[in-house]
Order: sequence, then structure tokens, then C-alpha cells
Amino acid sequence: MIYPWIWDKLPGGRLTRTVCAILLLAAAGGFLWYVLFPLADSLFGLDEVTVEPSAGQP
Amino acid sequence: MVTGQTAPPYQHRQDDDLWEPPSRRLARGAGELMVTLGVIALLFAAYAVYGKAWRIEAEQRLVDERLDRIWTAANAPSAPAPGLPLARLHIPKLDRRWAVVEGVTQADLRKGPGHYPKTARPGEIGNMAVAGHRIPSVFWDLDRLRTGDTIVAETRNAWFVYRVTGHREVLPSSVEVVAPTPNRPGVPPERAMLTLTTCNPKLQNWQRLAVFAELARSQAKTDGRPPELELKK
Repeated sequence: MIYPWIWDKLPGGRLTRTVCAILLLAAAGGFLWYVLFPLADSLFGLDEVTVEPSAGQP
Repeated sequence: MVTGQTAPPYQHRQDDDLWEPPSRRLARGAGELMVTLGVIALLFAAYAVYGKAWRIEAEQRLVDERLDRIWTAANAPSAPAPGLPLARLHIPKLDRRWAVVEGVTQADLRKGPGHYPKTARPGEIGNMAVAGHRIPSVFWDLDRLRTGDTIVAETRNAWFVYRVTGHREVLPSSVEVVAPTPNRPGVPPERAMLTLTTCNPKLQNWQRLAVFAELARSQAKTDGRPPELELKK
């Protein structure tokens, strides 16, 4: 559904579309790796390794 | 009734192949969404274990080089600023060594193990407390340490050899493990201790693993490397 739709919207022939798709994938991967995942990591508290008096309290 | 006329043969049209009922379109859309979310979840798991480790390793190389520069500088600061390296920690059994930075904020810990502010420094009477992530490049295998294993702290001028005395799995609020006398808050310290903390179990954060060690001996750097560094007990 969404992926064929994106593929149809990409410009050019098969080769140009493939290059565009790879670039889109790289951009999405970079966003996940450098922005979303670090944010989620902090949000889920997986970063917490210390002992502190307020730990576990809201 | 027979009229003598026959119905035109059925014409297969391309539109028939493209048409699908709404329920099927909905199911396909939901399927794509779930597969996408599944791939993102797998990528996040890979990031949590290996991606973070890779980033910390890259930071460690920079911090380690910086520590060498600080130690060779003529006017090295007596107390490190937050985020700057202050010592190296070696665990021969795990074949690991890290530059330890001052501070335990998330920014500090992204560089490697962090020294709890206001706790003792290497070799001092009191408790030198260090926190690190439970990821492959940092404290992943901390639970493999057993009583008697060696942890060596390296400073500019000396080596401090600690022996593991035990470990505890505690709640994240159990600050007594980093007290000057570990597990006995308020008791004045008499010995030089070292406590390492990390999250427990692996990849979860509802507990902390604390490993305790006591200073066994120290030696000046001019006397060479301690033999314990070559042993993988």
C-alpha cells in the first residue's frame, strides 16, 4: 500500500527510482539511529545505571 | 426464452485484477504497518545493544587519548572537571580497560564509565564509585566477576590494585552501595574501596548490580606495570 505508493511517486525510470529509494531508506535509517532511538533510549530509562535517592520515584 | 441471440463472451478486463474489497486493502495496510513496526523494533534492539556500544567505543578512544594528553601536560589539573577523564580502570579477567570520566550524567556516561562525584578517587580511603552502561563495550560482563578477581585503577603516577570482595543486586534507590563505607551509610571509612554499578538484568533497568572491591596494594608507575594486569584469572 504505502510502499508501492511511494515507489510510484518517485521520479524517473527504474534506476533513478532505485537510487531515490536507497537515499530515502538511508535518511530514514539516520533519523532512527541518531534521533529517534537515543530519544527512546532515554525515555524508556535504559540509560539509567546509577543509584540515586530519587530513582524509581515519579 | 430462446431468442436466437447469444450473450457476448466475458471480456477479462485489467481493472478486475486491480480491484480488491476494502477489507482486503485494510488488512494489507495493517500488515505493512506491523511489518514496518517490527523492523523498527528489531533495529532499536540492535541499537540498544550494539549501536550504543559502538558510539561509546568511539567516544572512549577520544577520552583515552585526552587522558594521555592530560597526564603528560605539565600543569595537569588536580581535580578533573565534569566530563573529563580522571583515571583508567582495567579488569584483566574481562580483558577490558576504560578511561573513567568525572560525573554520571547521561552525557558523561555516553563517553564510558563515570566516576560518582564526591566519592573517593583511586587509592583514597573511602569508596571510589563508578557507574557504566550494561552494554558490550562497557560493563556487560560485570556479573562474571567473582571474589578475588582483580580490578586495577591507573592514575597519572600510580597503579592501585583492588580485589573483588562481593556483589549485590539492589534497587536503583539503594544509595548505600556508594556510601564511603559501602552498605553502611554514616560509618566513617577506614579502607579504600571501589564500587562499580550498572543496570541489572542486562538490557533492563529495574535493578542495579553493584560489585565491591577493596584496595589490596598499590605501586608507583616508575616500578612498571603490575603483574595482575597480565593475568586473566
